[in-house]
Formats: sequence, structure tokens, C-alpha cells
Amino acid sequence: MSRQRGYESLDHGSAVRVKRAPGGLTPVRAATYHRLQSRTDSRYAMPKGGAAMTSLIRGLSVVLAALLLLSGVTTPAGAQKPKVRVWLLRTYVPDANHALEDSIKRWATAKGVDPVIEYFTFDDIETKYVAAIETNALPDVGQLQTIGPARYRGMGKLTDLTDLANELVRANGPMLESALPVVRAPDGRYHAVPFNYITDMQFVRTDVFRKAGVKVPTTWEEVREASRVIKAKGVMEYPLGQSWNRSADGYGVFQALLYSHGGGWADEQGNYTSIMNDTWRAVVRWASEIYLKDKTVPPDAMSWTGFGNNEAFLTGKVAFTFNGPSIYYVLEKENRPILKDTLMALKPAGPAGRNHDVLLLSWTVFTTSKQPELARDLIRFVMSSDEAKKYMHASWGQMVPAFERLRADPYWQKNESYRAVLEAPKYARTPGWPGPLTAAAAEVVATNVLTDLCARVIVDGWDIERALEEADKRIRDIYANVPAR
Amino acid sequence: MRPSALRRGRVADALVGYVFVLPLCVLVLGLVAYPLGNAVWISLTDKYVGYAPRFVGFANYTALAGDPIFHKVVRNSAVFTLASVAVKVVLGMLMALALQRALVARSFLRSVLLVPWVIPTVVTALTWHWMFNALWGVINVTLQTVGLQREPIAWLGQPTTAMAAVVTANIWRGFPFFGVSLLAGMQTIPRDLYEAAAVDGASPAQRFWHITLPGLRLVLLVTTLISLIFTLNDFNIVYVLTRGGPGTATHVLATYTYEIGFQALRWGKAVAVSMFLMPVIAVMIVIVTRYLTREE
Repeated sequence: MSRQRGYESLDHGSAVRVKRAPGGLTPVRAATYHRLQSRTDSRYAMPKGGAAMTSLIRGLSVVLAALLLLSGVTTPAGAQKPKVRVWLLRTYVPDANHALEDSIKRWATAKGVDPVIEYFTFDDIETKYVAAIETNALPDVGQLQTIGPARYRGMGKLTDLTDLANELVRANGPMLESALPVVRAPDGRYHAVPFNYITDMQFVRTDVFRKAGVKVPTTWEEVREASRVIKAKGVMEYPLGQSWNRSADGYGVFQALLYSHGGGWADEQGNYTSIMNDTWRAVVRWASEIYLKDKTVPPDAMSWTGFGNNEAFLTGKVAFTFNGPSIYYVLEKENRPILKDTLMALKPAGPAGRNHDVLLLSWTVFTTSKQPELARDLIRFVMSSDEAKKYMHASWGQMVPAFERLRADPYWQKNESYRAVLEAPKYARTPGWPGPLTAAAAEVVATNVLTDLCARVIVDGWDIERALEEADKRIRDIYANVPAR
Repeated sequence: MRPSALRRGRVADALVGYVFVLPLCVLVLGLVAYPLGNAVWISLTDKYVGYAPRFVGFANYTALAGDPIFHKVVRNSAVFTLASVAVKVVLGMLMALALQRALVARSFLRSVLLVPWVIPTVVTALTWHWMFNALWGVINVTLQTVGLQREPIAWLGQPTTAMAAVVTANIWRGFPFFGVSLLAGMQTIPRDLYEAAAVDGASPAQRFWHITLPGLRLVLLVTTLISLIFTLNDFNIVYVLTRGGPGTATHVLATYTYEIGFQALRWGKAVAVSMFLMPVIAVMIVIVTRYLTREE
């Protein structure tokens, strides 16, 4: 240490300057002083490498500042394109997904807009929207599934699109009847506009049926009978690929079965009605006895995911199943051998007629959008006749229009299967039928009440009456507690 | 140095200390205390997605207490967790003992045995899902090919086998954690003890029971606690394999919370389901912490 007059400072850069111990200190005090001094010195001494650390931090700060500056320089505020966030469903037909994405990009290029396209799947559509609602991170434009508009309009998240809907009707013709309950609220306003149906069809292996000597079923009882005969004749062990799982393959088909028997859980005004009746008993009996009595369904079908029946049909493990055209897409695109023996047919009818379930995708603009006019323009563009034809023709039968003039396209006359796909939405009924599609009806579907009902009987071994009582209670609870009706 | 200068120095030291601790405090408050407090609040409301919450007291908890599905979910969670952790402990111990012995290619074996832990959980679950498929899964195909089974077993289609399936997948994924931890613990046990015991004529089983196990006591306690907590909260394996099905046969607390929150949109009730675990886990942590403190 160098000593200056009256002070001691540290050559190695200490910030502390302390007074020199005054003369006359006793050796003990002096020792104490020096001990404290050295502790203080060491505490305030610049650590080894400290200078290097400072340089490093300075250097990093400079680099960071430069990066920030450059990002501002290369994209000056005035030249930044407006962003439009779009949420799309990633279907099982990649070509259809790409075609729609291309359409959006064409619009964006023409408008000088930067589109931010994000996807959700059948399984996580509700999850993504729920998370986005609660975190205020909704996109500008989004696709909704059938129950979407009913669930979200009551929350005030959907823009009134009545004028846009009327515009599209003028351009593309009237909407199909089955689309109206989905996109139009009971007060007549539109909070979404229909995009396309993904129609659930009856897929049939005609060669298996021929071999067993049974015809393609047109009623639900014929479905059961055909399965039994195919199994009994040893043609196929488990001919019917029907799971009551927690996907549209489960609750969608159950609704088709239910509505075609004239059953429902709400009246025409949309009020809850009890399901403890013979119609429901008959429906649940049909749904459970194909497993428990006929044993014509693969034993693990109740654990299938949404793709399980696709796999089973494509690999030849089942002779018929109910699914969207994505199965036919795989067969056509890959030109698989069973394509020539595969028929897409209308769903069977019941005592109350033929009633398909409906999966209708619609477009909406969210009220939190910062670009509402651009969002509407995007929908207008994508739903224009020229654009609709482009992605429709690329969809391998998956995108069935909801507007009459688009439905008149000769694309759908390709073969018997495609004609059936086009026709099926006419028979579609929405959740809550015969009443309107309300938030409560949507929740009955979303919370798997219908498929859990079947699972109670098939998996847990409950009798039908007990299972119906539980489902009835759950539906009653939903109608009593859901905020918006 | 004068006492006042010393005092100033101490105060300055303390301030610097608080400055260093401040980021951690912010993290704990922001990432732990606030979310926990918010969760407790939401569980006491009828919060529905898209709507403001309204205070309802313990109504959610009362509803759960009378909900037979919730009872089933709790039972499933207990079975899933206890069965998984018990087997993982045993397998992990076996793995550690095997690797402890001087073997050829020990490093290679150690790496191979770590693979289940390293693979992403979703990949693990998807692979097991394929293996358990009744019609073309490798397990059934093998059993039928060798003549051990005539009819395919619906592994994921029946309640008992579905639960066994998710437990199996969880065990496969998690036992390396125990193996690695216990192996590390074994390294700290003095070799002299084993030599002395060998000289005294102790058998391998006696050496394991009287030396290895007591030496691993603390490691076992901590790893078991961690595994219990993680297994109780497991979502991926059950969701990917069975979605909680068939029916509600494998529904656990995490999947039930997800269903109520994201499908039924009832966040108040969903949070109440997840809060149910809090006292259980808190008690476990307190017991283990006290035991560890006493040991020290």
C-alpha cells in the first residue's frame, strides 16, 4: 500500500480511502485497525477479472444496442406492413390446408399485408381459443368449429358480421339450412360466416359386403345386421369401426344416431328436456350392444383417438366406419388398392329419418382485432367464388361449400362418393336439435356427456338406466349454470 | 476505522445483499406467490371462461365432494401414483446396483438406461400407444404369434388393463431418474464398510440391507418425494395414451382439470380440482423436510 499523508490508499484500485491509524495507538489497537483495514480493503478491492467483466458487459451492451437500432433502421415504422393473425384448422388433408394458406397469401400480397398464420388441430381447437380468450391473445380472424359461435358470442368476443354474411349470400347464393343455426344467433345477427362442411360419411368396403352377401346399409338397424352377418360368416372379425370416444367420431355419430331416432335433450325453444325416455334407451342400447352383445367392434375401439378409425379402415381391419373424407383422400392420393372397393355413402336413417351430424367450419372476426376491416376483407376474398373453387378443388372432397352457387360446381359430380358428400349436409342437425344451437347445447357436446354415457355402459358395466340418470343430471346442471344461452 | 464508518460499511453491505436477493424475491413473488394466490382466489369463484369471476366461497369444493367422477379421479390418481412410484423405486434400485458393480461397458449401459428419461414424454406415450394397439400393436401380435393369446387383448379398451398400460408407460419413463440418483448416492457410501462386512461374513443381501439401504436413506426419501409430486401431476402420458379413458377409467387429476377447464370452460371448478393436491403435497414436503433436518 502506498501511504499518502493522513490516508492510506490501495494501489490496486480500492475505492476506499481510510485514515491512517493515528500515531500513538497501542500495538493491540493498531493490530485491530490493520485487521479491519485489510477486511475493508478486501471487501472493496476490485475482484480479479473485474476489469475484464466490465469490458465484457460494456461490449455486450454495445452489441445489443446496435441490434436494436438496426432492427428499427431496417424496418422503419412507416414501412412496416400491417399484420393480420389468422387461426386455421389443420385438417387431415394437407393439400387442402396448403391451398387455403396459399389463398390467404395471395390476398396478403395484393393488400400489402403480413399474414401470420397459426394452426390448431381438431383436438386442441377449444384449448387454444380458451387460452387466447383468457390471455387476451385472440387472433384477428379465426376458424371456428360447429359449437364455436354459440360458445363465444355470448362472451362478446365475436364481431357482428351480418353485413358480411349478406354480402356473401348475394355473391354465392343462399346458405344451406343446416348452416344457419351455427352462424346465426337467435336474434338474427351473424357472428360468423360459414366456410365449409367437413361431412361425416359412411365408409364402406364394398368387396367385404359382397363377400358376405349384404347390401350397403341405409338404416342403423341394417348397420348392425350387416356387421353381425359379416362376422358370422367369418369374413371379418370386427367389421364395424365405431368408437364412442371423445372426438367428433364419437359424439358426432352418436348425435346422428340420436337425431335419426327423433331424440334430443332440448325442446324447440332450446330448453332442457329430460332424456329419461324410451328413445334414449333405444339409442344407448344400439350404441352399447354393438360392443357387448354383437362384439362386432374392435375390442379397444373405446380407446381410439380421432385417427383410430381412420387407421383401422385404411389398414383393412374394419369393413365400415363413419368419418370425414380424409380417409378417401388417402386412398385417392396414394391410389391404394382398396380405393376401387371403397364407397362413401350417406349416413344411415332411423325411425325419424336421416339426420347427419354436422361439422361446419366458419370464419369469424374477433372483437379484439386491431385490423377489423382487413380481417373482413380477408374473409371476403377467401370466400369469393374464384378463390373458393381453388381450394375446394384441392381439398379431395373435404371442403363442402355451404353456399348454393359454390355447391353447383361440377367438381362434386366426380363419382357417387363425391355426390354423397355434397348431399350429406342437407340432412345435418346441429347440437341441441330440435332446438337452436345454444352455449348450453354446445357444452353438452364439448364436455363429452354423450360419449361418457356410452362408456358407462360399455366400459364400467353400468345398466342403461343408471347411465342415463347420470347423463341427465349432467345436462340439467349444464343448462342451469352456463352463463349465456 | 471509526465505529460509525464500520456501521456504514455494514449497512452498505446489507443493502448490497438485498440487491442481490431482490431478483430472486421478484421471481418467487411473481412466479410462485402471485399465481398461487390467484389460483386460490379463482377456486373460490364460479369463473367461467370469458366472464368475470364471482365469489362463491367453497361451492366448488362442495360440488367436488359430491361428484362421483371426482371420487373416481382421486382413486385413479392414487393408484397411478403409488403403483408407478413403487415399481420405479425397485427398478431404479436394481439399475443402480447393476451399474455399481464393475461391468464391462458400464458407461455405455448407463447411457442406454438413461434413454427412457431423455426421450420426450409425448414420443414415449405415442410409442406405447402404438404398442398397446389391440389389432396391430407389437405386444398383441407377439403374444398371438407365439400362441400365448388367441383373442387380442384390448389393453387400452378395458379399465384394468388401461390403468396398467399408463402405469407401465410411466414406469418405463421414470425409473432411470431413480437409478441415476441412487447410483450417485451409492458412491458416497464408504467402501470400508462393505469390506468390513465382508470380512465379518455378511452375505450380499445383508450388506445391502444393513449398509446400502441405510446409506441411501436420504437419497431415497428425496427422490421418492420428487417422483410422487411429478407423478401426481402427470398429464402427458395419460392424455396421449388414453385421454383419461376408456370412460373415466384412467382419468387422473391433471386430465380432469384440463377437461373441466378447457372443455367445460369452468375454471373455478378446474382450479379447485388442482388445489385438492396442495395440502397432500404440502404435508409430504413438511414431513420429509423435518426428517432431513433432524438427520442433519
